[in-house]
Amino acid sequence: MNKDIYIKEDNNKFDVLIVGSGITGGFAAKEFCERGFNTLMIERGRVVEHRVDYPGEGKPVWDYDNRMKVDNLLAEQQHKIQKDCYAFHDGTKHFFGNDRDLPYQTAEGTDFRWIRANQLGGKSLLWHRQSYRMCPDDFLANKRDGHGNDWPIRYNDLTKWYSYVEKFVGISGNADGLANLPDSEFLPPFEMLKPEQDIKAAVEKAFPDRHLIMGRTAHLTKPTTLHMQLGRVQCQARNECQKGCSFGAYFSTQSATLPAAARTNNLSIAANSVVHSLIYDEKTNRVKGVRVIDNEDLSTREYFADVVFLCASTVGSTQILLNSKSKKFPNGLANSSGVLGHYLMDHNYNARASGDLEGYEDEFFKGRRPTGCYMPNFQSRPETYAKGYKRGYAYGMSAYRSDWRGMAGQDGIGADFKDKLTKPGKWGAGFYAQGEMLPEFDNHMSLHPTKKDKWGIPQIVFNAKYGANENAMMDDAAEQGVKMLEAAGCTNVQGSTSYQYPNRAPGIAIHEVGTARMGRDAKTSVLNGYCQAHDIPNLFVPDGSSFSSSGTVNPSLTFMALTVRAVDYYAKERKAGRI
Amino acid sequence: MTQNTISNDNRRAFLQRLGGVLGAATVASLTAGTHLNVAFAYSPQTDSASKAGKVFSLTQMKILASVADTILPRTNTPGAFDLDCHGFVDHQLATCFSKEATKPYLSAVNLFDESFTTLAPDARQKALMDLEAGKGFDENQQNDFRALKSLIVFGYFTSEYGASKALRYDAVPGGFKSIPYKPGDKGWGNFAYY
Ligand SMILES: Cc1cc2nc3c(=O)[nH]c(=O)nc-3n(C[C@H](O)[C@H](O)[C@H](O)COP(=O)(O)OP(=O)(O)OC[C@H]3O[C@@H](n4cnc5c(N)ncnc54)[C@H](O)[C@@H]3O)c2cc1C
Repeated sequence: MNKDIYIKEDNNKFDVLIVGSGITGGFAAKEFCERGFNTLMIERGRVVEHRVDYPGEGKPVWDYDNRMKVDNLLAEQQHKIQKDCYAFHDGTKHFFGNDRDLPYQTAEGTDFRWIRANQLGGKSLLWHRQSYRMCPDDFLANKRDGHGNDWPIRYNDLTKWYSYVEKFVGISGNADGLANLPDSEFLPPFEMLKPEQDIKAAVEKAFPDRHLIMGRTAHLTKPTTLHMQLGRVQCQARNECQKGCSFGAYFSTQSATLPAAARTNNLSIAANSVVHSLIYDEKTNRVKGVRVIDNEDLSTREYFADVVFLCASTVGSTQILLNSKSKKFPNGLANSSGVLGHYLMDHNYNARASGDLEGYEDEFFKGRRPTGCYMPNFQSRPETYAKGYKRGYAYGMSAYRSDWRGMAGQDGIGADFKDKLTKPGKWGAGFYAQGEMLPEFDNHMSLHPTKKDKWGIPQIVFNAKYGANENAMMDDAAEQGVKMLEAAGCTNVQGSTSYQYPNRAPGIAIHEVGTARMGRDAKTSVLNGYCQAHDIPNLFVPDGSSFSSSGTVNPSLTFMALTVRAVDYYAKERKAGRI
Repeated sequence: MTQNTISNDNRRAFLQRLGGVLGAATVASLTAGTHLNVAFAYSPQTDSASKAGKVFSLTQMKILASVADTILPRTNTPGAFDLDCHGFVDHQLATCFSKEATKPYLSAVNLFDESFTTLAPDARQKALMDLEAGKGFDENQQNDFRALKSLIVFGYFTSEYGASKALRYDAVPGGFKSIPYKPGDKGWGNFAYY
C-alpha cells in the first residue's frame, strides 16, 4: 500500500476517527472513505501488510523451528493466555496479543480467556470465517423470555445491510431456506462429503426440527468482479488461512476493506497508536478526538474529528469508554445508565460428541476444506426451549477420515504399523456445540483501581462466568450430540462437556459481546439501535459491545452489518444537519 | 496540534498520570525485553545416537534411538532412525515442553536399559508389543510409552521425507472435492493444525 497513508503526528482535523482496524473498524473505514469522508483509522498495533507480513504462509511444517509448535519459554512468558486458543501455533503466534505486555485481572473465583490480536487487521486475520445471519427470533429472545433488555432493532432492520456486506465479503454457502437461519447472498458452497450427506439424511429423519447444512464461510469459492478488483482470487483450499492468505481468498481487513478504503485516497492510518481515552467537551456534549500513547516509545499525541467510531473490539472499546472520565461522566463516558461494562457475554463451546463411522472406505477427498458443516439452533423460541434451561445452541459438525495424528496413539509396532500410518484410517464424525450465554448484569468488566499496563492504562478486571443455565445447556448439547450420532449409525459414540476446565472459561469462544448494549431506554442501555451513544450524539460503538443478547451464531457478520448501518445513519444525519 | 480543544489543565493532568508510569522505568527498559533466548531451530543430525542430548543422556539417547527404530523401522522407506526422530524428540522436549511435561517421556525411555539396544529386531518388536498389551507393565507405563510413541510418529510425519514422500504433500490444492479412494493410496501430508 502507498506509504503516505501512514501518519503519525498530524495537525489536521479529520472528518472521522475510527479506533481499531479489525473486522468492524475495517468496514467502517471502507464505508466512510467511499462516502468521501476524510478518515483516520487508529490502530494500537503494528502495521501488517497484505502478502508481505505473513511469515507463516505456505511454509512447510518441517521448515518451522519446532514443526509448528511454539517454543515453551516464549509461550509461557508472552502468550500464557493466547496459547489456549486452538489457532495459536508457530505459524500464527505473531498475530496474537502479548500477554506479558497486556496483563489483565480476573475476580476471585472467575476466569476469563481474553484472546487478542493487536495489529493492523485485528482478529480479522485470525478468525475462522464462519458467517451466519442472526435470525428474527434472536432479536426477540430477550423480550420473549425476559432476560436482558429488548433489542431496539429487529431482523428486518438488518436484512439489507446483511445483503450489502455479504456481497462485498463473499460468503460461500448453500441457500437452505431455513427460518432459524436466514440465507445470505451466497457464492457456491463447499462440498458436503458423502458420510456427511448420509448423517444429514439420518439426523433430519430422526429429528425433523433439526437441519444439518454446509457451513457458511467468508471464502471466495467463485470471486466476483468486485472481489477481483481488490486483488482477491479464488480459495485454493489450503486451510492455512490464519497464517495470512496472499490469494486474499478469505475476508480480512487486509484483503478486502483496507484496499477498498485506500483506493479512495480518503484514508489515513495511525498505527502503533494506543488510544488511552476519548477527549470529551462538556460544553458541547461532543467527543472531540482521542488521546493516544505511542505503542513503541510511549510518547503522547492526539487526533481530532467530528465523530468517533469505536471499533476496538467489545472489550477494547469498553475499556476506552470506562477510562474516559469527566465531571459529567465519572464512571466512564456515555455511561449515565451505569450498564457500561455489564452484561458481558461470550458463546459457550463446551460440549462435544464424536463417534466412529463404519464403511466409506472408498471415499476420500482432495484439498483441505476450510469449513465444516453446521446445525443451526433449533431452540430459538420459548416454545422450543428444552427442559431445564433457556435458549439454545448450534453445532459445528464434520465427518473426517483419521490419519497418523489419530492413529499414532493406537497399538502397533513395526513395519505394518508404519505402513498403516501412511494410509487414511477409519471415518469418524463429531458435533461441537456453540451455546448462547444469557445476558446477566453481574457478568461484567471494570477497570482496576491501581494496576496499569505499560501504557499507563488501567488493567481490566473480568468478573464473568458461565452460570447454571449455560452448564445445563452444555450437558444437554453433549447428550443430543450423542443421540444424533447414534441415529446416524455411528459406533463408539462419546459425549463430553468441558465447562469445568479453567482454560475453557468465557473468552475462549472469542465472541465477546454486550458491554455497551443497545436499547430504546437511555436509562438501561448505552447505545441506541444505530450503535450511537444515547448520551453523546457523535460517538458510535458498532462492534460487539452493542449486542443486547449473544444469539448462537458467530457474530462478526452481524458486526459488519451494524457497522455499515451506523455509518449510513451518521452520514445521513450529518447531511441533514442533525449531528 | 492546531485543533487542540482540550484545555491545558486537562492535558497537564493527563500527562502527569502518564508520568507516573514513565517515571517508574525508562522507556527503553519498558519496550525492551521482547527478545528472548529462543532455542535454536531443530535440524536433522546424523549422530544424535552417539552423544548426549539436551534432555537425554548418551545412554538414554541410544535407547530412544533403538525404540524409535523399532516402532518405525527401515523398510523400503527410511525408518525413524534414518530420519533422526530420536534427535527430534530430544530437541522438541527441550524447546516446546515444560520440565513437568517432559516427565512421561523420560519415564518411558527409562523403562528400558541399554540391553534393549542389543536385542535382535524381532525381540525388540515383541518387547514393545508386550508393553502396549500391558504384559508386565502397568497403565501409567503404558500411557508414558504411548506419549513417547506419538511424539516419535509426529517427528516422522512432520519431517520433510515423512510429510512429502511417505505421504502426499499438496501445498496448493486449488479447491476441495471428494475423490474415490483406491486401496494403497497414501494419505495427505499437510494439515492446517497438528
Ligand atoms: C481464532 C479465532 C477464530 C474466530 N472465528 C470466528 C468465526 O468463525 N466467525 C466469527 O464471526 N467470528 C470469529 N472470531 C471472532 C472475530 O475475529 C471477531 O468477532 C472480530 O474480529 C471482531 O471484530 P472487531 O473489529 O470488533 O475487533 P478486532 O478484530 O479484535 O479488532 C479490534 C482492533 O482494535 C485494536 N484496538 C484495541 N484496543 C485499542 C486501543 N485502545 N487503541 C487503538 N486500537 C485498539 C486492536 O488492536 C484490533 O486491531 C474468531 C476469532 C479468533 C481469534
